[in-house]
Amino acid sequence: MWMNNCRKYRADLALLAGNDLDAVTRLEVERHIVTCPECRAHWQELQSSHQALEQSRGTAVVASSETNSVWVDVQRQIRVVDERSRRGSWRGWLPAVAMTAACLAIVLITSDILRESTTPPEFTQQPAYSPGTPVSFPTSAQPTIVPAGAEELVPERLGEDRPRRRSNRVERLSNGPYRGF
Amino acid sequence: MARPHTMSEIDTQSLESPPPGGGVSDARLVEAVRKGDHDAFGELVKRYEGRLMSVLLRFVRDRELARDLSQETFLRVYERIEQFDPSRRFGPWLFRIGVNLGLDYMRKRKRRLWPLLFSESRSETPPDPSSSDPRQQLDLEQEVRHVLEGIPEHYRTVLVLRDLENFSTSEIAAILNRKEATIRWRLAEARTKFKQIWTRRQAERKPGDLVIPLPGSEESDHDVDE
Repeated sequence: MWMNNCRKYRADLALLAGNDLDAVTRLEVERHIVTCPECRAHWQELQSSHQALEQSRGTAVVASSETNSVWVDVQRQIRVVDERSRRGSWRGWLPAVAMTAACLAIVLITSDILRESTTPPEFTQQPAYSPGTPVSFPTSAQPTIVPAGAEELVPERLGEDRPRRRSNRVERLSNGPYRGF
Repeated sequence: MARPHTMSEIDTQSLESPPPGGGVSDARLVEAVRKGDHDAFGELVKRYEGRLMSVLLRFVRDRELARDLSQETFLRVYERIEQFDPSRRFGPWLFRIGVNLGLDYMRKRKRRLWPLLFSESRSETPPDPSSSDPRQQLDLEQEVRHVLEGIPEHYRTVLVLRDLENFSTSEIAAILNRKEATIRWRLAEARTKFKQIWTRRQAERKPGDLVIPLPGSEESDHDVDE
């Protein structure tokens, strides 16, 4: 007859089949098997199936003597990995190095350009004027020729003193049949 | 009720046992690898390659493929060796990478490779000389394979690692990155499910069919003769 605590023993029976129980639990389960026919039948089926499972495992085991060591192949692959990692470390730094070099180049170029544009032109110190000393002008600079009496000239505003010339159309309108409007 | 010792159980080495050479521990080898010592890594490869290939072979059932996956596993281990926590055991960490690779591969080829469990590369697997009739063993393996197909993957993985590859539950917990209690619960569920399907399939066999005998059992010869 199925007992309420049989459910608890079912998992233990499965573990007992593979000798995976501690001594205390094992004794307890074995005592239960004696008293419970249902669990005893379950236990016998478990033993039978587990024995089949264990018997089937023999041929799949690879004895080390049968196999050639994989170390030779693994060693070859390890060398490749090491080489790749060495190259990889360089490659990892390469973008940063290239970027830094590019930034440096840009900074150098722009600083040269800025220096050229902001530096004032060089002036030669002219000697102080003293009467009787001939004045020398820089050859590169063209002297402005100012005609005599130019300071009296008043700049004439364009068209200020000339009579304003009417356009042909205005002329026609003022002299035409609409004169006086 | 003591668990019988099989050849595979004797051959396979526990991840918690000392190194076979009795020499340098895994932790020291890992430390040396981190300093660039390739020979130390070679020692680790030779220490674990046999069992790793055995586990991968359970999943993919193709020796060449298992070999490729084990190479890939060691390569990933080498690439991630800096991420390894030295306070933990190296073996489960390595097998976690390997098992995940195997599971990923299986998921990609779902329903194409799982049916090949225990069946593919049959010609490459020599028959067990201890078995009186190799056909019995093949039939048994085929039947077990069919039953395993009916179990969900997260249960099946635990069952394969525990009952076929003989990892302890604590090692499986470390490999699958789960609590040991979870693994024990899954293991119990997996064995129960395996039992249910196995019993049903045995019961569904017609009376005239060959009953899958368990090698070594008394009734096996009688059933085969029939």
